[in-house]
Amino acid sequence: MVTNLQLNGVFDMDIVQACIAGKPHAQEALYTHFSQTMFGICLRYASDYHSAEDILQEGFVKVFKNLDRFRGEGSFEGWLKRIFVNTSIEFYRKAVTKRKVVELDSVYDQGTESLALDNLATKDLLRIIQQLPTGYRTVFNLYGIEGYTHKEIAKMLDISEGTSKSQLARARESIKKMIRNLNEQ
Amino acid sequence: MKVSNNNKKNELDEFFKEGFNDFQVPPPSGLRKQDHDPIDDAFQQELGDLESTPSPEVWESVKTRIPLSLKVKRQLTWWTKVAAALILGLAATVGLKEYQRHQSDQMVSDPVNKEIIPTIPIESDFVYELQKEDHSDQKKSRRGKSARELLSDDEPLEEARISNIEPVAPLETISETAVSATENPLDDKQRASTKLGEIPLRTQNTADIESLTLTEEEIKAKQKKKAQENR
Repeated sequence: MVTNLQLNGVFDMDIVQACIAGKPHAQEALYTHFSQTMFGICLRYASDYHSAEDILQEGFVKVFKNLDRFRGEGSFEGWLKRIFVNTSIEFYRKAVTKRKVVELDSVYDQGTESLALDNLATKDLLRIIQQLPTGYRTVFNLYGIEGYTHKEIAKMLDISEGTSKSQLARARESIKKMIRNLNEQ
Repeated sequence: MKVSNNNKKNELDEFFKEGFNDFQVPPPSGLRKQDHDPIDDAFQQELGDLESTPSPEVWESVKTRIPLSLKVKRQLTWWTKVAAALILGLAATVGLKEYQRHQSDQMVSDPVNKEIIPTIPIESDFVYELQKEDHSDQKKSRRGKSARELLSDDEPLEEARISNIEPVAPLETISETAVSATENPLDDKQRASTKLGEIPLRTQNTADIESLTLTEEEIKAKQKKKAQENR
């Protein structure tokens, strides 16, 4: 039964049940199926590759621990994504307590007109986002890519809405400055 | 009239305030665009569905951290659960029996119990002896009491035993004479020839000792002899 589990691109809920039943093959199948997508999320929230791997590892441990809590309401992938975003936020909190978020007031200047975004590859964008200070990166990811509102972000990160807005604005400015530098090179 | 109109308005305001207190108006669809930047779109397009392969070490470490409950569940089929329950029950029974046996062994080996248990068979004789030697007023109180009851009396056992014996001579002397009398029983001739001085005494009360070692007739005979000698 377990050895015949095939995912073929479409995730089977039976695999979740098999994982809960403690079947090692099912657990590995679940990891293999989702690890690449979840690692993409982790890479966006982490400052480097190794931190992303740490988040991925922590996230999957959480997934296996809470697998029996998944009721089948909504998509399983959506449930997984939320776990990984929350795990990333936990890492953000740890980073914030370790060192204060770097304020980059100096980057408030230029507009977006002259930016040549098309010239940049995914790798470059990832590098740019990873170079952002933790607070900027987290807010930018949540607002710009995930689509959360400032109110939701404020609640998730335990900050005020005003802080969320200002962090986003500064993140954008930092990104613009870094893109300009890349284009000049 | 104006006042009543104002009051009505206030009430209406309060009513609506309360009604919409927790109501959140969803933001208009165009509102997000006000806080929107082309950079966001570029990043969302490129990084929104980003996928990358992590190193195989991640799965290795995840595998080791999978909760034990998920691993154990696999092993616990229905018959293993039944077997485990039976083994546990058997172990509990054996353990209980062993514990009870240990408890009873401990009771016997306990020095306090050791002292009490052997005295039980001789308690009747012991009490009888005490009763025999008791004074008449004490007889009443001690008659019918078992050794256990006597032990539990306020008066300690040793004191009770000693108090029932009339102090005739020091205890040491009595025991010495008693031992010599039992180990080497004397015939009449020997007993007559035995001088009091030969017995190692620490007391001057020889009459009392004689009363313990000699019969009444022998004492009388001795007294007569003494009287004749004096004459």
